[in-house]
Amino acid sequence: MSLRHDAFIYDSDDTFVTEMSAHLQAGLAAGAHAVAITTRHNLGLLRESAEADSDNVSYVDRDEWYGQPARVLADFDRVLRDAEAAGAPCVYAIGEVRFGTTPREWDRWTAYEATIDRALAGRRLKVICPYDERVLPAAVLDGACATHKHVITDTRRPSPSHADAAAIVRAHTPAPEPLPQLRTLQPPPGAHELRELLAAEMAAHDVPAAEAHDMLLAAGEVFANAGRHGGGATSLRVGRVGIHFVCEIADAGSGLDYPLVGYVPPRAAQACGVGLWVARQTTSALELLHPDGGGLTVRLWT
Amino acid sequence: VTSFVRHGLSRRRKVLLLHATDDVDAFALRLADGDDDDIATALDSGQLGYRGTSFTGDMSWRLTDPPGCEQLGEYEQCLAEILGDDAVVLLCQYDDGARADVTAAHDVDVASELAPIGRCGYLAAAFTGAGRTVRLARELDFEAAATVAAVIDERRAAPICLDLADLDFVDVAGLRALRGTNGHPVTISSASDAVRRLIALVGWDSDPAVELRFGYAV
Repeated sequence: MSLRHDAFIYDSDDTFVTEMSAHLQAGLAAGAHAVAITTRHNLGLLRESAEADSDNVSYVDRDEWYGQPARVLADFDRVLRDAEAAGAPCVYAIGEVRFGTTPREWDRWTAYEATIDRALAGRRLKVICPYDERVLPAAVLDGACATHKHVITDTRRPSPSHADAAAIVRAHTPAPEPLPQLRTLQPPPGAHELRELLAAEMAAHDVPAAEAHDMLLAAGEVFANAGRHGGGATSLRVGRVGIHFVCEIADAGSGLDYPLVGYVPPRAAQACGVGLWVARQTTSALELLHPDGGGLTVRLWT
Repeated sequence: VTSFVRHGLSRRRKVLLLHATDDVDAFALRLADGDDDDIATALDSGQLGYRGTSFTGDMSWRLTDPPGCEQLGEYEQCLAEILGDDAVVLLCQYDDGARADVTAAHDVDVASELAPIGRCGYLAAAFTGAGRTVRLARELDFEAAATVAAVIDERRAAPICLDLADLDFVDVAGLRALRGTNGHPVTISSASDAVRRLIALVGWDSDPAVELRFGYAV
């Protein structure tokens, strides 16, 4: 089997329990690992239903699971690799995304849903994403139909409005702010010098050590890519924005207009795209800017 | 000195004259003591003295990254400052095509004690445990990756064991280089926090070709 990623739009507790218990049961019957990530209320409902309350199901509070989209993909990848190592044939999962309360958050997690088919393509995962029609805004429910090939309501059907993932991510990614408060620095000639420079800047801004190390890792990967694909870094901007330290590296290459880059978990012997995967994992956000003059600018946030 | 020079010239010898002066012509005239025809001819033919020096050296030894080679750039710069004028021309030959041929020398370059490796001087390496373990310290990034991959490729006949406890920084290309150019299986006997972090991020902790011999808590 390969990836199956369905949306399930429900409007009552009973519908939720009936459909999701059946999914977990099917997984257990197939010898799969079963993971239920949902609201605390729904976790209670599942545990009460005799069929689904099993030691073989992992129950996870979705408020603890859905933190930063790229890291959620890494967590799913981890679950899949652990299951594989344990000899399980596949993973059955329930993933009820925490969409938050603001349009910006709705966009962010709709974009995340769009990345799954690409990020976990070919993986042995059957995941159903429940959408609670009673509380979610129409924009999110529309998004569910665009980001899933199949939607379950009373039955499972192909979604008529399923759309291209890259287009969805583009449409749901806010335009980067200009951030004129960032300071422009001369890009150093080497990676070691870049790390020294950034380490000094971050120390001056009291960035905690672990976050600073992660930023050095992310910036190093972007810097390496600029050298490899963009003819070298042409501009470096740094500074504090709110609680974040921001580092922006620009090159004058041919650019990169693929918003899903860096969302695919690296597989053994994979040569490309691992650097941006690491950069997305080690920052709270990574923005791709496409300046009018060409080239690519990558903005990293601690 | 004059008679020595004249004697040499009369026997059609090339006379090499080293003297602390900037002006070879003026010195030669003084040497000729007015009788300058022979001297002028000897100067023109190159038999006596030199208008300048052209020097060229094979620098491909640098490609083996021997200890201390990180100071090469500084050395070259000092050289340029000392020479200054155009009386001396230096051509240093750097043949990158020779890289593949000289990587065999890596075995002797990486010492039993930590020694600089790579062109940039912020990575050090050593062979320990009777040469069975490669120990790396300080920073391993994409700029040193090709050198490290060559060292690993050299030793791929035997199982490769890595001691990475003192590696303060490693990036994706650097980590990948630890498995050579073709992704050899490796054993990592110890690892710093930076190494552990990246191993988890790229999924080496569940790659069967990578054996981790240190406690791993995700």
